[in-house]
Amino acid sequence: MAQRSHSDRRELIREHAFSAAGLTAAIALVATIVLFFVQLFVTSRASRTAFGLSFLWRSEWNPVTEQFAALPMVVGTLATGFGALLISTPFALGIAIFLADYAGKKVAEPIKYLIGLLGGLPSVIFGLWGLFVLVPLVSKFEVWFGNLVGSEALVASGTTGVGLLAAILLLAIMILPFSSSLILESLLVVPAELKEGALALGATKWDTIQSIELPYVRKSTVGALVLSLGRALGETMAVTMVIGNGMKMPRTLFDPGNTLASAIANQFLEATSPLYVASLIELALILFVIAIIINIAARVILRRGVQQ
Amino acid sequence: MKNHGRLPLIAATLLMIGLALSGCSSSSQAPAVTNLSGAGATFPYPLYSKMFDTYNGVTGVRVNYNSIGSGGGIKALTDKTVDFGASDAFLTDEEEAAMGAPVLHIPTCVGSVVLSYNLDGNPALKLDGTVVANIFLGKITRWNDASITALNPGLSLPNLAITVVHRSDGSGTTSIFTSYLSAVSAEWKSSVGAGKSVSWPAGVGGKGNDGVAGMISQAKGSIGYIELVYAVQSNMPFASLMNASGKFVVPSLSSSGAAAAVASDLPDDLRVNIVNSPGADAYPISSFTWILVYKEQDYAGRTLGQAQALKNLLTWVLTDGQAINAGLSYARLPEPAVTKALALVGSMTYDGTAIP
Amino acid sequence: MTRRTFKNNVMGLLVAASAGLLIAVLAVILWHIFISGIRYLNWDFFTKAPAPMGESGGGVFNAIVGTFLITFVAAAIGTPFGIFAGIYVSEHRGQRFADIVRLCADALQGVPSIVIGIFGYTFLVVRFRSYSALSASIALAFMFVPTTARVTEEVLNLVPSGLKEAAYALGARPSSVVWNVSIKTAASGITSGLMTSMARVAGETAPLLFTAFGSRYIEWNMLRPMSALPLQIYIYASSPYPALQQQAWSAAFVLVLLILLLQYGAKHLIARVLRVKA
Repeated sequence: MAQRSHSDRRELIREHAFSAAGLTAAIALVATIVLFFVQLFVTSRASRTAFGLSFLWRSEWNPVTEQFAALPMVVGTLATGFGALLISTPFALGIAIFLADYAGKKVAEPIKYLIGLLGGLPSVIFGLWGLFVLVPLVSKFEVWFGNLVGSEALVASGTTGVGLLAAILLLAIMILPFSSSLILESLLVVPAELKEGALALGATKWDTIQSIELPYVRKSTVGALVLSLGRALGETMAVTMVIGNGMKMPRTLFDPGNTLASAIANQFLEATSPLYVASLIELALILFVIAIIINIAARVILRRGVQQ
Repeated sequence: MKNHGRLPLIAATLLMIGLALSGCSSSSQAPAVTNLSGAGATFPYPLYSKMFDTYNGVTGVRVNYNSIGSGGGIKALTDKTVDFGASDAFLTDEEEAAMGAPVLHIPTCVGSVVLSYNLDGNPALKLDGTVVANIFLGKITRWNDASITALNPGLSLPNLAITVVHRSDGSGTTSIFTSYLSAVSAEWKSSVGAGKSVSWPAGVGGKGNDGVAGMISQAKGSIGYIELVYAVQSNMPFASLMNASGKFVVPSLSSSGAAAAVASDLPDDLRVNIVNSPGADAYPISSFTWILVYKEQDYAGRTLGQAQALKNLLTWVLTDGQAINAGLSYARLPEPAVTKALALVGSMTYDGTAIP
Repeated sequence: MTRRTFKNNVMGLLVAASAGLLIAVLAVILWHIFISGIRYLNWDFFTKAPAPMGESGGGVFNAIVGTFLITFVAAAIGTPFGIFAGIYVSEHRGQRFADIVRLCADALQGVPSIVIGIFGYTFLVVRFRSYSALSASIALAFMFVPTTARVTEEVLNLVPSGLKEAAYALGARPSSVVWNVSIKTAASGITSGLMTSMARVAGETAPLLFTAFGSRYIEWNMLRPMSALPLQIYIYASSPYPALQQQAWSAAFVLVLLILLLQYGAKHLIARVLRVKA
């Protein structure tokens, strides 16, 4: 009898320990987000006191005079993010449709595998490839384009190849596996009866895709694209290596620029004055808030898309 | 089957124990400190890299140096995350006040900043202060500009856009270069000024001496400023500059030494600027580079062993280590500078008393 | 041919072309890494620390050691949190707090790596008063936990509810049902999820910039600065020395191999072992 209650108690303790561990881990996950926000918020206080909200819309970043503002980086981030999305979306849709509706299993499986492979390559490797392969090509293009339009506009930014354009192209490649596999996922849940019904009525394959499938996955595609945008906005190393680190407001796509992430990567270790450091941390705070909002929004859209 | 679910957990626990043990063992071997870490200037990085490698061979002490820029060195020392910082620009009184404690400037070598460029056929370019300032101000935009061709009568320069490459990070090299430009151009001084990072009127940014050199080597028609040794080691061409006494000087070991030799009455704290030096053979963009340490070494839980290891390293750099300078195109420190620097190292204290 | 069938054919070609383009891009990237990487590989590359700046020779053994140590310690720290959080969400499916936890895991997965680096510096490095591999591992663990939690949850959700119900009917407590039924059924899925998370974390650079910081020496002490392959690639790629740029390609080759090994090799191996034992 004593034996029995002893093992009972042990089991009870284990039971409690187990649910406590689960709860602790769950709470830790939520707390992490809060902790990140609080830490970034507290350590960037000097910058907020000095510049207030004007940090967001002024455009001077000058460490000598200690004037800091985020607009050039916000513009750089949005330009590269949306630029990359614009270029890669048609291809992402094409790939997803090809895999969902055209390719047989023997073709689709290896391609999916390759998409996973491309998506798994580290950012720094894209950066390396971008710097030594893509940037020289962009530079050639800049020279050619400069001669075509009479050049002077390009003189200021030079023809080094580094700049917003190189970053956009590289990002477009980097988010392609991500967006195409997300779109593919939603295409695969389109009920087969819907498609078969349309085909039986004499619609061509493309008719079916255009009038049945695409409307069906509209919401989840938007969610997938928003999620890809979030990824592009926060991408750091590859962009840092090809964007040219200009701190001025970019005027053309050939100008060197900076994203929020690349400005931090380039300058954080060198920033000496407390205000400089705090301003960089405020950039991180802006990036963090944007990333959280975009991710949550995308998940909500995706979930609605699935429920529908 | 039963154990598989636990496998990751067991592995995790073992790793954590291993981690704790490795942490313990490192703190228990207190007195003989064999690891020092420093960070900062990229300007003397090739020299430090070789010096510390040699020092490791001689003494077994491992000095880990990361070239993250002078600004980074100052920041790392301020945050007390390294044993020493390194900078090509001495701290201003303001910066030193921000450090919270007195900092010693130990010069290690004399180096030059050169203007390197990428043009077909690597012509030997001659420039003067005004032209350089105007290029970096964005006022001269093509290689065949009259003011450049006037200085280079023998060369046929292409009708090619000039791409200015500058540092994107906080840098002592930038500080040296911009104080030179401020010394030779009133317009530069009033509109941009001198500093570790400035608001550049033109051009693209590269990170570190190496980043700038890398960018120059990739882009036709570019010009940028880098430490002499980077240009020499990566076979990049560099311009001769007209100095304060009106002579074109090719940057070299002896021409930077000539600049330092002129500074005969060095201040005791060795914070001194030698750009645009009046010497007849002096290359105008030359500078000391410094290692920065706290005078009082008993801070942030540091041990006497660490302080001793640091003191030994600095003494070696100023004496035996100087032999390495020449092999890498950095001028040796002039004798008076070494004497004063050793006196500074001797003044380091631990808990108020001299370090044995 | 009617307009509709014409359009059908054209669009079919277009979507196939986009897939072809993807393959071409991937092939070009891998080809560059392979060709440029393998050309400069030699024995020293795997066994030696870097030579002093400007001298030839040397290798990246310091970075290989660093990548292994930093990644494994990050996994060791992150695994318990990730798995238990995943179990929690899966067990409390439909409850409000579990939904919040899942949303937080999703959001954390989207936090840019550079932000995690800044957090690591201001929260850990400044506090430790030293750059260290351990602070890098902790920073990476913040990336490791949410991915692991989501994978664990997804895999657990696939466990047939019949199995669990049977166990409950036999009077088992929730903890032993999860432990003895769910986790065991899902073991191979969870392990492969762990491997994928590790592969992802092993390639990260941004969180290491301000934490691990880099070291020229072969370092085993987690409390000191340490190098890692991604960090070394970044530093070498932006150097002006052709010899170092070549080493960047070789290091990239090694890193890609390592990641493929973690992501696919280990996954298949473990899956096979588990299947055989079962």
